[in-house]
Amino acid sequence: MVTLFDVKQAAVRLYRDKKYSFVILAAISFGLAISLFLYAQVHTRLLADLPFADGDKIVYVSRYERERQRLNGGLQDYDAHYFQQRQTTLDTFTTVEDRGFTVATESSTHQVWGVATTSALFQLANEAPLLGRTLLPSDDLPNAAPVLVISYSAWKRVFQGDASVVGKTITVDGKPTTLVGVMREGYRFPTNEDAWLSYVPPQAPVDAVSGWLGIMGKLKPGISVAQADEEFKRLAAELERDHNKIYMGKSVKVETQTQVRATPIMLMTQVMTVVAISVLLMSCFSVTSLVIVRMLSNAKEAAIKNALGISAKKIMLLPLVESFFLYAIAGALGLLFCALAIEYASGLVVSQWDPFWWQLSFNQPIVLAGLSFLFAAWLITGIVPVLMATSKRFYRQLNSGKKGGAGNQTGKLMNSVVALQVACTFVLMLFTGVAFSSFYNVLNTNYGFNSNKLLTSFIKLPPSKYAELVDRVSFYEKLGDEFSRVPGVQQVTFAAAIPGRYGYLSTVNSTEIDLTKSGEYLQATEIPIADNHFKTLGLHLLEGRAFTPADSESAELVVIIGAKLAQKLSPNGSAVGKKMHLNPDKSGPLLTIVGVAPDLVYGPPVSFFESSMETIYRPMRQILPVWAGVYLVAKTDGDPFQWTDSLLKAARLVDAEVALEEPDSMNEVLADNASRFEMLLYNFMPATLLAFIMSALSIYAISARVMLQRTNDIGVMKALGVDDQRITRIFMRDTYIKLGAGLILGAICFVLFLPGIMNQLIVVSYWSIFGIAISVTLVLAFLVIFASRVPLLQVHKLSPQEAINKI
Amino acid sequence: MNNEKLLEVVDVTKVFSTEEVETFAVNKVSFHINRGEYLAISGPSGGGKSTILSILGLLDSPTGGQYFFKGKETSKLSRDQLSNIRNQEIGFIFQSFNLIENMSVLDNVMLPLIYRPGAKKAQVKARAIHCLEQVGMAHRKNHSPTQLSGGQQQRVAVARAMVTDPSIIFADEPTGNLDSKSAETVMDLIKQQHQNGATVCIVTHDPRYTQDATRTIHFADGALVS
Repeated sequence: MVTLFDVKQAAVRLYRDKKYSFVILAAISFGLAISLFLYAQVHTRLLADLPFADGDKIVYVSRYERERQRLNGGLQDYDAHYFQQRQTTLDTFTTVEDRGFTVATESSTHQVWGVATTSALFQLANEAPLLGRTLLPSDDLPNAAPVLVISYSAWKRVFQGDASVVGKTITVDGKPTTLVGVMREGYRFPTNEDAWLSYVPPQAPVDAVSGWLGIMGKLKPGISVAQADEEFKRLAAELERDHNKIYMGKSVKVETQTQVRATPIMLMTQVMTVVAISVLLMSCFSVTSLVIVRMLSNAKEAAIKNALGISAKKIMLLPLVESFFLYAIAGALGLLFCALAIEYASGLVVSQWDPFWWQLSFNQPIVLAGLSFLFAAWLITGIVPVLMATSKRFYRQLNSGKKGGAGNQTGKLMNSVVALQVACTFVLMLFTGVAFSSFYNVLNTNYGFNSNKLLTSFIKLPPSKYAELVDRVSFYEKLGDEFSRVPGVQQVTFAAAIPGRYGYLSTVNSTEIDLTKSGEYLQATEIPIADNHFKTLGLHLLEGRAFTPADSESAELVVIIGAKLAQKLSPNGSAVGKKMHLNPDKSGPLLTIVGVAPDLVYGPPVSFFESSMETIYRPMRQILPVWAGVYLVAKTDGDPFQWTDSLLKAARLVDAEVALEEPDSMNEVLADNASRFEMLLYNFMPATLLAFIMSALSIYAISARVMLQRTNDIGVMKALGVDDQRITRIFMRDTYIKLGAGLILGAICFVLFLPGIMNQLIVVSYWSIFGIAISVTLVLAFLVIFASRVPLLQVHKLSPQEAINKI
Repeated sequence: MNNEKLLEVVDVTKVFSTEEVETFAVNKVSFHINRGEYLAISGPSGGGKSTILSILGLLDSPTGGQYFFKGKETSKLSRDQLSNIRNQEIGFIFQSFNLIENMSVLDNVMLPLIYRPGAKKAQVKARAIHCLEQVGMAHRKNHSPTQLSGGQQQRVAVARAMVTDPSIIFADEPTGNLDSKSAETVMDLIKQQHQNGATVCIVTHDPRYTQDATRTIHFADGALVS
């Protein structure tokens, strides 16, 4: 039973030993806050259910490439109907097709991302709209007029929150469509949609290219995901058997909707889980070490109490009450810090493109996890030191005059844990260093052109209105002319991909040299461009000519290729004038090479190795798929944001039903590629900093404990004439062993983890990693040596007699 | 004083062992202490005086032999039972005072009583102040032990030893760390406790302080020599 006397004593001791109390409070509260913040992210991404009744029963059926064992592509219209007619495991069945809609009102035109789907999608979520209605079964009927439901944010952005728009006819992708409803704020099911267009896939014949669908449904009662997956795989196998040419190697995979989104980030979340647990354990260990030192330095007090007949159980109460106080305060602080981090930093780690249910919040599971962490940590760091400190025979304490227990060894277990802690810190520091270096490298990547003063925007033409190539090209030419007339706009060009963003992939081969490897054709990013593309980017072709108006749809098919591909196609001479085969696996056309361009970097430069992707450019007049969006790039005289409104005005003048994405500077677009590293840094830097401090604390605590135990020995050594340097060397030997063991272990762990993450997280060379490793080693070594020398320096200040008599 | 045995040791041995050598700190010692007696244990340093006192005070256990406290064989008692005896029956005065620095003088004296089941804080406090008054330290009750002189600390230690009104007070070289004046004061306090009816057992190698004892036994090389 805890008495008021215990409580008073505990409070007095903690108040008197302010430094100790502060360090313990800081270690526990920051350790808890950082661990919980990481755990909250893992929980949100991996464990959070859809915020609907039976959200865990909503599944998504994806196209699955059996040979490469990965999700790839969409289901076709034929598949959807085939599965719908035969499946027995799903109660509610719907198709979804991701689309970018061009929504035009009387006064403005916008791009809105969403899905084309059926009314069943709204039955899955069973959510009432904020305004109007959702899609109804009558909207799914053949010849039903198209209707659109929009999200709360789209309603605010496009219609400025005007409630009267519900029921009105607007234009969606060039077609008159009735806006029938607005959903509540935050509802963006199934992923992060802003619009839901009524759409039932047509009853199409078997065809490899019609449709790009996913299937969603709710598992029937008693049916598991595995059973549904088994059934859909069996149906896919039937399709493959009956239409082998189209479906060869293609299967499907059924997962819950949350699993579909969680699987691609599994590695990342696993890393975060390990970091969260490591940080918490390191905090616990450091605190335990400090508490042990404190307990041992107070061991004589326990011995006196025992001599006075106070039972061991009661003696244990005081340190437990003390640690309870500390944990209660630190826990409250840790939860508060975590809540603040979630409140103010969630925008840094969860983006607007993430699934809508990934809402980082300080909710009940997080608080419960925090309290569980706290209780476990209290038991470990509260009880273990008490048991250790009271296990020695108390009478020896009373007579020895020694602090720190009767033994002279720090214990193999504690030394091992310190080495492990050094290893963890090494790995965390190295990962953070590499992530920081990657972040810096991505921000400073040379994409191969000067991105200053360039304005860009993405345009997706309504397919129904711009079904013909000539119309699409005409629109872009008109827009280019219109915007070029604006003062300060030097040049305007168009391309299906810009540096830093992906284009679509095609396969290529030479007519002279076989470029296949293991039967696989060489892949290349195919980019339809306007004639003045390279000039606008400030580039000169290495060979040949740029495209001209003569390169029309009816003229010879021509291509400009990147320098790397030119080297492969024609290693011993000029590639200009030669022919190359486009998409040879699909009997594609022969193209004549008319120019060689400098290589640019397309897509984010996130690969550890130099990108092996080749590039081919084709004139927009000859190829511009109806589904492909196009980037506008304008060279301006100054800050490109000055011309944002002019661009939107020019587009509206050309066609009011065409929407441009919010214009951005090219520099900002390229900087976006570093966002994932930014997110890594926000997560890992606090954890690493804490691990760094925790390692120092542990080393200090261990060293302090040794000093407590051996101050008298040092006094004797001093009395016998052993100088301080010699004493330091003797006592630092253990530290060097722990440091060395930790660094070796950390290096081994890092090398083991490296292959798993390098393609996703790292953009630095081996030499850079080596350099970072050396820097981390030096910093860590300095820290460890410094922390272990502090208690030694204190002992050195004592005279031999003081050291011998030190109690 | 009467002839009722308060405690008795029979063939008690205490051996300290290392890997290479065994040292007999106490070797087959037998004697007893009667209720109300004032026993002085004297002898040269290393003779085993303090070791036998730690065994008598239940601070340490013998390697061999038997120790009866109020007729109970102590080796058969659990740790909690031994604690209970130390708390209820024994008062201990150490050479190095062994006051707890983090507690006030009053808290130090209250300590043996405060954890007793059913202890009322007001009563415990009154008793502790009474004991402090007896040793002349009540005016320093709110001070920390570190603010006191050695003699004052030992007087507080005497108050702590008597606060439980024990059956026996053990004192291990209680004047060893004190100047002569302080030593006189402390020894007077101990003598006063005996006069008030307490049984006292004191370890000392100073012949001046054996004179007040009703019986003196001598230890040398771990054995009882007289």
